[in-house]
Amino acid sequence: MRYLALVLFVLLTLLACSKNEDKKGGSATPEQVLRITIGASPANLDPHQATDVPGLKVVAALMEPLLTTDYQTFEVQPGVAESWEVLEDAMLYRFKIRENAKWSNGDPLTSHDFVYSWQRILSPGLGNQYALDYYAIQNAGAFHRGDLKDFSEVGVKAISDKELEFRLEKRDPLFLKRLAVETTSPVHRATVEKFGAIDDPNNPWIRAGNFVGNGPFLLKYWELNQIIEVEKNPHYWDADSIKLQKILFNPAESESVEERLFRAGQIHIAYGGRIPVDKIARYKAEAPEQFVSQPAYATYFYVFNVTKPPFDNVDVRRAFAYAIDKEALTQYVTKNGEPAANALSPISAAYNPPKMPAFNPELAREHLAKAGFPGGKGFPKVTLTYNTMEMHQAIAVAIQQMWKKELNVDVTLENQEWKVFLNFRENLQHDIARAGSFSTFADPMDFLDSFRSGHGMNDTGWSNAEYDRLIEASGQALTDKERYELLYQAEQILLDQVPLIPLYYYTQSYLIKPEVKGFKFSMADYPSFKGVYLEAKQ
Amino acid sequence: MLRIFLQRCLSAIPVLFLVVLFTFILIRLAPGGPFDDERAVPPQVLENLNKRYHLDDPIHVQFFDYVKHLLQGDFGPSFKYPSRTVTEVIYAGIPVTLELSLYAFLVALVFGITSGVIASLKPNTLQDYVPMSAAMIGICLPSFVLGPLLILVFGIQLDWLPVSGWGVTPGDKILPSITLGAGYAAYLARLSRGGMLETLSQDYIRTARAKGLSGWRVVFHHALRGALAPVVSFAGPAVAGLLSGSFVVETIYQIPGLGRFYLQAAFNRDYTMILGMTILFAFLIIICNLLADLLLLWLNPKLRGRK
Repeated sequence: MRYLALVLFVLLTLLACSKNEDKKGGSATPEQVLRITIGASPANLDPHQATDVPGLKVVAALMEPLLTTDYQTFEVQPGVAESWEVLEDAMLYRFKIRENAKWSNGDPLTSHDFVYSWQRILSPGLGNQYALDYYAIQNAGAFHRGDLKDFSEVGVKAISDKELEFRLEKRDPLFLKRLAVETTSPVHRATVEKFGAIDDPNNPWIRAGNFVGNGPFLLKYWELNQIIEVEKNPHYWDADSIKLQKILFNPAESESVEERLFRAGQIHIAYGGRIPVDKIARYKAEAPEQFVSQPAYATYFYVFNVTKPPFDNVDVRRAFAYAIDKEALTQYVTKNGEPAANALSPISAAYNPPKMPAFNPELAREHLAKAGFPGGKGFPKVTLTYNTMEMHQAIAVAIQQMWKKELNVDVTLENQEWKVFLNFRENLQHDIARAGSFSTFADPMDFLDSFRSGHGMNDTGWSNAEYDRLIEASGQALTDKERYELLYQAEQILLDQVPLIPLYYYTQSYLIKPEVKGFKFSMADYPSFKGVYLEAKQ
Repeated sequence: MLRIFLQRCLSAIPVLFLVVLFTFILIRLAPGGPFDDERAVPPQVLENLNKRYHLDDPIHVQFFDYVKHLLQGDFGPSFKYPSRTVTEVIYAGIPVTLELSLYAFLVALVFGITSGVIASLKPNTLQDYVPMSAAMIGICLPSFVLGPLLILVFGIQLDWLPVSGWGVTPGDKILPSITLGAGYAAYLARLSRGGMLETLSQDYIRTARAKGLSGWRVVFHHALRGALAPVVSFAGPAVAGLLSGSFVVETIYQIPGLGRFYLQAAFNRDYTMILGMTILFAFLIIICNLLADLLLLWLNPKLRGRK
């Protein structure tokens, strides 16, 4: 009995000890500490290496690029640069950096910092995944491929301490938008060099304690799978508009965990982008002011493998596309208010894409008959492959039934683990496969460019010379009107040839406590913490 | 005993080597690589990355390079978390996993042995049926069911305890420890009940009772020690299971332990992380089993003479 009592005592003591630990400041309730979930734990916070959405959400608090984006209109706005000029038919861009722009250690932020940062972004060894997006800059491609060793020959120049210039070798209509993404933020040279080489992907300069940044917040605590703590940066040029003292980013791997944290009052905003589908109706009914659903500039679609029968026949592809009732799919399966998609690019104020015929079973059967399979007779067994996830499966099952009902064809379903699936799709081993695309700039080019011949993301094997020509020409257009016109024509070809079936446009859903004021949700899903504050609970 | 200890330690070396070899081969056989994603990495960038991490070397060269670094205590950088090394991730995660496993083990021991002993004292009565039925439920109820149930009741309905975290909010270690420990407590309850019933029927217990010793003294001083042998044999693998099997509980409660890294590493094809974690867990499992065997020898002198 003595032993038992001893063990019980030790157990209770240990559990009680845990109550006193508050090392991450999680239970502190001072004013202006925002608690927010961001999806999974970020893999990296280095702006030149981060690629995952959770990571970029934190980077948005820590770093500021030359320009920023108005999250409603998607127009570029001043960031670290207070003004800019576009010269020589959009082949030369000149930026004026704010006089009061500083690093979080108080050092002045200069154009030389940007030149160094661009050298880092384009260094072959760093493995920046967006480097190819910047090939329009003079000699950027040569430097990134390793053909050119001297960075002074690349078209990024400091004219003075506060003036920066980019010279392009090829026009890029999205160039300003690219400079408004967190991944082009500057890094503090002395700090990077203190902890490693410019192109060392394992450089630990970004760890809390080492970190120096130029954004509205400072990194105070970051360990993997733990709450990330950032604190207001007093040296930020616009510090007056930052009302929050701290933000605690809570990594939560699944939407159910996020929802539970929100319900238990441990977070103010469930910002991972998804709420469990079965909970949505309840929030809408019982606490509509806490539930936010927002369209995303992203599309969910299926890709065909057009390199082998039966989907090498455009009529078969059309039949499969027109036999899907997308409205029913979003209403009864996905159930999050997603708009049905009949084009790859989402609809925006600037660009209204052409449409493929909506659900039309008659037309679908005609095309199948024309392809030599009247009433589905003699149609070979084909497989629809998707990565393992409950929602993908539900969608696939619904579509499998629609194809059976409308076309009388049998489609087998197959799920695969994520990386196995990516590999399978990339090697064109599929018949039909799930896909999704998301645009950071809310621009149709982000979607349409992927279907050029031989593009790394064109997992269809489809190729069309006229399409390639139009996409290429759109990159050289001088006005947005002309550019959108060319993209429209390209998208018409894509929708007519049906290498893919657009299914719906994603929506993102969030939960937010009423005491949070000034927080704006955006289609691009990256937060801005300017003007956000917490009001006393009612 | 020292000889047995040294023998077992030596035999662990080839076991660990085989673990490294098979893991290395198996993860390379899995389709997909560490840099694959929905947004495909351009071929030039992929080439740079492969060069950087020596993934373009022949596979046997990669293997011997890895073993060479391993012998120097270097598990290499993580592919998924570039600003950290695998060693750092292990150092950061292991105290959490050990702490969680320890609490869960204590939960298992206290609840398991107590209910097992109580049940064994009056077999086939209500005092036996109630704890044993609870144990049966405990065995059948996986942690991914028990965890959310406990959260619903104690975290959300009653609002007594936090629903996630580890050392962040007061009391956040209680629910995870119970969730992880419950299944093992149930096993221990059944084992200790069985052990007790067997021991209580032994002659030396009858002798002890005949000598007029009190019931408690007979049970706790004489019977329990003998009855614990199966419990100890189970405890070694149980601790190993707690250590390596905590990823479900870590995921439910968002605990930054090693189990989650292990699981994520497999999904991410983070080669160095998978290898590092596998080696670590293999090592821990070997140690736990060794300790359990040594403990058994200490508890039961009869075993010491056997080869």
